[in-house]
Amino acid sequence: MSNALIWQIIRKNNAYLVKRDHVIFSKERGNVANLNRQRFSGLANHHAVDIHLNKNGTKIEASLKKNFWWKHPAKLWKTTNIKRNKSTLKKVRHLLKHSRVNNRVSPAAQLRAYSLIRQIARTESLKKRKANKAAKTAQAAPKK
Amino acid sequence: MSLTTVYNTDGKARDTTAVPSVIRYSPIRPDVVHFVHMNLAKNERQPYGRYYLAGHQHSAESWGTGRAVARVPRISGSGTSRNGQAAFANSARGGHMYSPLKVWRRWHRMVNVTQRRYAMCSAIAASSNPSLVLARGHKIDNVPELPLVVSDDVEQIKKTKEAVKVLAALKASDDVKHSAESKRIRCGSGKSRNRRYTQRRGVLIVHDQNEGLVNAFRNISGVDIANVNRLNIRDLAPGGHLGRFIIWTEGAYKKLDKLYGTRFRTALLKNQYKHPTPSVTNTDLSRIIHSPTVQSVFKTPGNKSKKIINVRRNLLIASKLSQNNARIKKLQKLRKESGDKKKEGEGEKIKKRRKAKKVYRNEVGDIVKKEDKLKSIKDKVDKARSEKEARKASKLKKIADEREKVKKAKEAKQAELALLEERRKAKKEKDLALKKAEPEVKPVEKKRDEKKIAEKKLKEKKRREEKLRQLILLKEKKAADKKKEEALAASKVVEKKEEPEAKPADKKGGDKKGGDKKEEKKDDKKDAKKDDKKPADKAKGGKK
Repeated sequence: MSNALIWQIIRKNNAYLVKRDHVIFSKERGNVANLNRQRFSGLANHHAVDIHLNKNGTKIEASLKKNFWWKHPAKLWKTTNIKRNKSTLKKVRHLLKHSRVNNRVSPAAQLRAYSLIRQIARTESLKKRKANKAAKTAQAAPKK
Repeated sequence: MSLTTVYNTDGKARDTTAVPSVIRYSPIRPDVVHFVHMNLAKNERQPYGRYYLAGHQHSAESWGTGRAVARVPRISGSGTSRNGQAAFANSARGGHMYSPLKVWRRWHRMVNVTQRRYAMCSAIAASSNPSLVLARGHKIDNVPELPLVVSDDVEQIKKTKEAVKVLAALKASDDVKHSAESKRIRCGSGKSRNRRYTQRRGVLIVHDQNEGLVNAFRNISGVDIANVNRLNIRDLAPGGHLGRFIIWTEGAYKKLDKLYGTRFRTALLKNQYKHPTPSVTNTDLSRIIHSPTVQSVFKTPGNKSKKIINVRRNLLIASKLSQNNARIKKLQKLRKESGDKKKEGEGEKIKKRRKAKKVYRNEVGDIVKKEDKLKSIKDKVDKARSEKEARKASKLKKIADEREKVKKAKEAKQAELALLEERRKAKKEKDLALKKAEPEVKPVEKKRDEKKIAEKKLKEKKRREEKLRQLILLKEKKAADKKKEEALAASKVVEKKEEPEAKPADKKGGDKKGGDKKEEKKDDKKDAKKDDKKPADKAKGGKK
């Protein structure tokens, strides 16, 4: 089944449509910009990327859609975990470059990766702050 | 696309079967499915309407004009406030409604059989596409395959517990769970009209034979069951939306070809029916565009000129756009004048004017000389270029350094290998030298062999010679015997006459007899030392 046909069936009515403020979003897996457009659709593209956070929220999971397993939903997505490093974006770019994902989708994917990196950084910094506070209170309490 | 795997009730792949033609080739038409579903859904309705006398159970009459009231019929009589109030009209209180609902409304719809079948084929085909099933909202992320075909053992399950296990093994429990957890009390008056709960549609299990399957699965919330022979569009495309999550039993899956036929063979269980085929076989736009048949007809892409054409200035284009353009005329006039005045030199004036209008400004906004402005631009460009080149050079350097490193490593390795090889060669040469030293022994052996051969030859010669001698001796013996006999015969005759003549002949023969043996022995010894010719000569001499 071709991408074009699937898109024509899906575009106006599907389970992942979200309409907010006259903008039509779509929250299926494989949609990196969450926009309801054929280019970004995770259902109407044989090759797609999905970038989201780990279960724990510590790493970035980048999963690629493998068209070979299009009939087998269990094997469709191949995920790789990427740590939060200086080189996470590089790795994401490398993934995108050597995949068959549409070229126009990659900037959105990179943006998403970047925002997730920032998110991880924020959580880590929060943890650190809490730890520091706890340490300080522990120091202060016995003194008193 | 041509094979589907059949799974056991464990969830493990067992076998493969061919994909039925319905799933493979029938077109997916959401519009047809929606139309058919919409109309067939009307066929379950029960009629409703107003009581035919509603609002008319009064003897109301209009008072007519002249009474300072509206001309609407009014309730006759007296004694209550109801009298004189308006009646009958839809605007009146207690009157009939506008267009009272009638029971003989056309509740049911007929849909053509082929249309219904078309919708069925579309729905079945859509249920095998994971994108469409996902889009419908089913949770099939962990399902092993679509279409999901289970062996016929499922049809013999009789316990709901086993049924639940089977669904879990096939990873369909996500969707079942999703459906079961979505059970809510309906909004609206339907809740008080025997439609209290709503929930999402889950799995549909399609079977051919029922040997317990229905009883096992029917009580599971979120699971629906259907028989292949009696499939319903309301089950396959609930709400008119394509892509229900279906689990087929093997028998049901294989029966689809008989039910809906193939492209070339009609269905066996329907009267001369073949499932529809799409009018467009290849719907992949990108593939069509990039195909050689289409690409060969395109023009070659030209250089996209980045020049922005000013329509107001560019005569040609302006004239094409509108011939009555006043501006064009002005420009034309100017051009003509400039053309005439070029000879006089006034065209230059116009050019100067155009040039003079151009003013060069700083980044801040101050007016700057043209030269300075151009310089600054050049500097920027040069800077950027130099930086680029520097980056490139550094990159190239890095690459070159890496390559050198690799080369050096390679060379070092090669040097080591060469050393090893040299040592091996030296070893080899030593071995060869040793080996070469050995064959000196061989010529000694050859000499022995020669000796042996010579000895053998001598032996053979001796044998031959002995044989010859024996033969010769025999002959001589015979000759001698003969002679003897003759001599005896003659001697008997000649004894009287001459004795000495016979004797020397006998003597010779006798000498030869006795002496030969001795001489033979002597000759043998001599022959071993001397050549071959002598015994032959002696033999010849003997013959004489």
